[in-house]
Amino acid sequence: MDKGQHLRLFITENSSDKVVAMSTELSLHGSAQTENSTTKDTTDSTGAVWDENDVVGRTYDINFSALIASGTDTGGKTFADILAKVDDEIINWKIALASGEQNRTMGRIIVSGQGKFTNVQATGQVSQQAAYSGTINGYGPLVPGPQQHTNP
Amino acid sequence: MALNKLKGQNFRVFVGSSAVPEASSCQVTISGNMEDSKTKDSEGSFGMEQMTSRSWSVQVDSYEATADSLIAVIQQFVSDGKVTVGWDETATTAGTQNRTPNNAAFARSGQAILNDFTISANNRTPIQVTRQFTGSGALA
Repeated sequence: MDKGQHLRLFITENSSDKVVAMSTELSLHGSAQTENSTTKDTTDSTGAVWDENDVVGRTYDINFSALIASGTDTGGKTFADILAKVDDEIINWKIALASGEQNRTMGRIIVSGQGKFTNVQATGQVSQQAAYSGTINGYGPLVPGPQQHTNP
Repeated sequence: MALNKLKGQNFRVFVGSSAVPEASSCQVTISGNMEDSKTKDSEGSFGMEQMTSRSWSVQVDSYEATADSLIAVIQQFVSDGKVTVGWDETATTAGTQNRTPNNAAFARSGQAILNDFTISANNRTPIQVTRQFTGSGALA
């Protein structure tokens, strides 16, 4: 059973995938908007028909948390790097299994896509590690598996 | 005749023909939409509610966190197709991982849409998958 640190978020820039450094939490949430498609043609012996539904839209978002550190990290994306991406139109991301030194070596890609940072929040409380969290709002399709995302 | 109580690990959700592996909890909901059909002809103060439609949904939480299973969840989400989802009692037989369906009297299945999922991967804890299916059409 893989633990959470073995599934990590990578941000792609200039064809290079860099892991979000010092991350602690990651979640991918997808939601499909369904619409009741029951019509007068739908029959049921009891008179109270079962709802028939179809998907009419899909959305998804990624939430992650990480610690804030000073200095540079050439192998990963830091809080400074994420802030630099906030103004970007669209970012490319991947979620992949990770292993190796600092669990940063990208393994099998689980899913990839595009999105935009809609929320970045940092907290600095006495007696606690400074931390930040980010939300990426999905743009366009989720691409499962190792297929590489291509711009729509 | 005495009934045997069923423990939580033996009430399982099936997707396709297989029990959701490494599942930790599940919830099945069946709802009826009631509408009051009371008219001016009706005598007395009580409502006259009639069931006009029925719906069902299934939620399942699991730790099935292999690369293949995670990719399968996302493939299911982006697919326009529907999948067979149901629930059943499973046998507690050594070596079966409690996954063998018993065809219990309460077992049901139907076509459903994966309309919501969350993959959570937090430091030091197992990767967790939560899926919610919305039924489309009748349970059988």
